[in-house]
Amino acid sequence: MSSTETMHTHEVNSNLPDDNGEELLPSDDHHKGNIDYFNHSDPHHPDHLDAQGNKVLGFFVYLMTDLVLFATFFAAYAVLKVGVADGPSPKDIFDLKFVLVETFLLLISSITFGFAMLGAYQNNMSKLKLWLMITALFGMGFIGMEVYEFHHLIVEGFGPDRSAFLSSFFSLVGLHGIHVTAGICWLLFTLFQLSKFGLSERMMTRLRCLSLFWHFLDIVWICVFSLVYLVGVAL
Amino acid sequence: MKNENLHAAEHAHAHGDVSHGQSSHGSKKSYIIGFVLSAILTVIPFWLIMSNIMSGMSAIWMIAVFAAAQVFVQVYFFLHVDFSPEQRNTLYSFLFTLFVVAIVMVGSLWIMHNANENMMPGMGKMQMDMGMKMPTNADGTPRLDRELEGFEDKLDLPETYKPSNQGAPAATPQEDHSDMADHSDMADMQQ
Repeated sequence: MSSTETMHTHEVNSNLPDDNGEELLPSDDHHKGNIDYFNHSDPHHPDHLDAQGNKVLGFFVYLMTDLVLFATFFAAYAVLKVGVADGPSPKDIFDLKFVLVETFLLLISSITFGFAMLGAYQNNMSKLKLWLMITALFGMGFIGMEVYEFHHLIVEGFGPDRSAFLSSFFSLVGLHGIHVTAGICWLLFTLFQLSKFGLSERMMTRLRCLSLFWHFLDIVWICVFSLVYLVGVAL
Repeated sequence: MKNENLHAAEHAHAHGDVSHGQSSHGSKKSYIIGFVLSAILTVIPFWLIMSNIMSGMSAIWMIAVFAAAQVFVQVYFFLHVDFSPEQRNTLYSFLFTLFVVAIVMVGSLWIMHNANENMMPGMGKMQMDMGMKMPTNADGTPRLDRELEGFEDKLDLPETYKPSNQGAPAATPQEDHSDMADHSDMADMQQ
């Protein structure tokens, strides 16, 4: 702890006026001081920094609107779930072991993206690229399993045209799958951009947006496997 | 916390040309904590359902609790939305979106549940409406459900609307008579 405090005190003091530096540093509040240091201390491009931060915030707001879109699909599924039309009910067609593997592929891809971002913040290009590629592979594995599941259901005659339940199921899970596919394309494109432009400040902003997108899709998948697969089998 | 601070401090020195405005981008430790918590919160509900330990409404509540817990774990550890001052905008937009999502979900389920409950007797619940074929007679015309016969009695209609009272003008109130008189006048004029 003492080493941390020493480093921290040193940093903040270097950015404060000499005469009242000590008074502005309440000892119990140094976490806040830390944040202020990162946000406002760069004397070179303060406005530019804010612009990059605003882009990330704007992307976050887009994700929130995407969340509302997903909510409408979830609501449609929850309402239409009972309309099985003498066809299969959720219990008949869902294989929870399969879904558990799918879930873990996506969850692992989430943490590997986290490691990629740590590599980016450490300015370590090879680490960043390696983890991004691993993330893309796990994402492709997830999509592959989902395509296999859809194909299997359609071959069995349980396609989206079979019943209201299956229509809403294919819409909801397919919407998520399209998002993940778009995320993989974006990820591969980012890898290309990284080798072309390097780790510029603009690329950092793009990476942060992409990481938000990727983690967001994992969070939506939590709701998908809970509401669709687990509740479907439990009821 | 100690490690995180140390980590952040290391970043500040190591960066050089890469500048970034976000301080809470997590550390290896926080990502691993988030991952382990998520894995646990995923495995438990799957295990509960796959081994048939729980089913029915209690299982659904259990699934909902674990899902909500995992969502908040991932929002905190992966999206880094927390209560720090520079995350205030994302936190508020996230909370507001949760509010909208709750309105969409609860409102849809509530309205459609009521619509189901208040359907005409004999027309069936939603699953029948969308699923089952209408019963037909031998010539293919729709056969009336047995439940449909005499459904007016179940509807608690005013006496005047009961089919047994049709053609019995004595039961209609006085106001109706004046209306009918007006209409008959108009019909006469047109002829």
